Amino acid sequence: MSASHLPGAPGARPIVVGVDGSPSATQALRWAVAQGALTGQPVEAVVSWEYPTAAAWTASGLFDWAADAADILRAAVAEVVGEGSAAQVTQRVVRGHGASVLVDASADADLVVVGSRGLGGFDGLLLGSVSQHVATHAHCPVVVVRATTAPQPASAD
Amino acid sequence: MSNSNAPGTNVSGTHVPGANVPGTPGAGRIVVGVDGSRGSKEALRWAIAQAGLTGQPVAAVISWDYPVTYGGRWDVPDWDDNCAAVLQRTVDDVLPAGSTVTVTRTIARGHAAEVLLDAAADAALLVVGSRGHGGFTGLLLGSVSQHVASHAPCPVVVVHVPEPSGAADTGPAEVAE
Repeated sequence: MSASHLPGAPGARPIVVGVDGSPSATQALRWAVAQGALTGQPVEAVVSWEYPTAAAWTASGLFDWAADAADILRAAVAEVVGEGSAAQVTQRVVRGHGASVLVDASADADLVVVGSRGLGGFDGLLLGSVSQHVATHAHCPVVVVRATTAPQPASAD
Repeated sequence: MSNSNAPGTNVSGTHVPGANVPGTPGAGRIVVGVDGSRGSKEALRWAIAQAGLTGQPVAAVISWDYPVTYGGRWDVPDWDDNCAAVLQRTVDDVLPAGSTVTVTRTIARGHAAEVLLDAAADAALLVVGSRGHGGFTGLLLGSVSQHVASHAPCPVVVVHVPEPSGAADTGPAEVAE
């Protein structure tokens, strides 16, 4: 039995947090930053992106999905820690499905933090598919954080 | 338009942004579900380590309910006593010697998910194992863990059982009922 993954254990690995611009993901980032301050672990905020399944190959070059994801991540970090302190959170933009990106990242993390639901889904959904998948398959403990206010309906885009 | 009336979110009005982040002064207790399974032991271990950093008390909660097939003709086991023994043994196994963390023990009758959600109403954090004694071999996320992750008003930590390193693993049951 390993004692790894425990808060405050020596040789701590990063706290990974999934960000997608949703209210619960931003609260997850807030939780992760506070936990990192408590334990001294680095915080790694990850945003993922994929080409929409409906995008034709001819149109795929018209929009910079990676840059858009990076903007969402940067804005969330700025909201949570402030522009001046953004450097304390490592920001990673990864192409892939959110669930598999976070499960992969969990292999080298002590904790993965996710919002209870992202921008997808429908009104009334309590636990999104990505959060559920990560809670099921992660290689380390997973924290599911709820938005403190009712989620806003997803805006177009 | 919103899910503010959905189960589990009805107390959101009592929460202010950031109130549940770790290290908040005066934050509530850390509630952890215990059933004697390996997952619940790891959950308690995680909760105690976290409480050692935050100074919060840990509330270890175990629940029992009458089996649905229960008839009136058998000798009735003392479910409360059984639970108390499992809880005691789990805390004794996990709490490090000399730990200053306060661990309270609660035994409640009811479905585990319901009992944990009730206990989490004023908690800063709810910690559960990824699966308990129920279910089947290969199950990765138990129904109780999934239910509380969906409905708890506070953040929920799901702690997985460490993968066996070489030694044969016979399943989640470690403490006989």
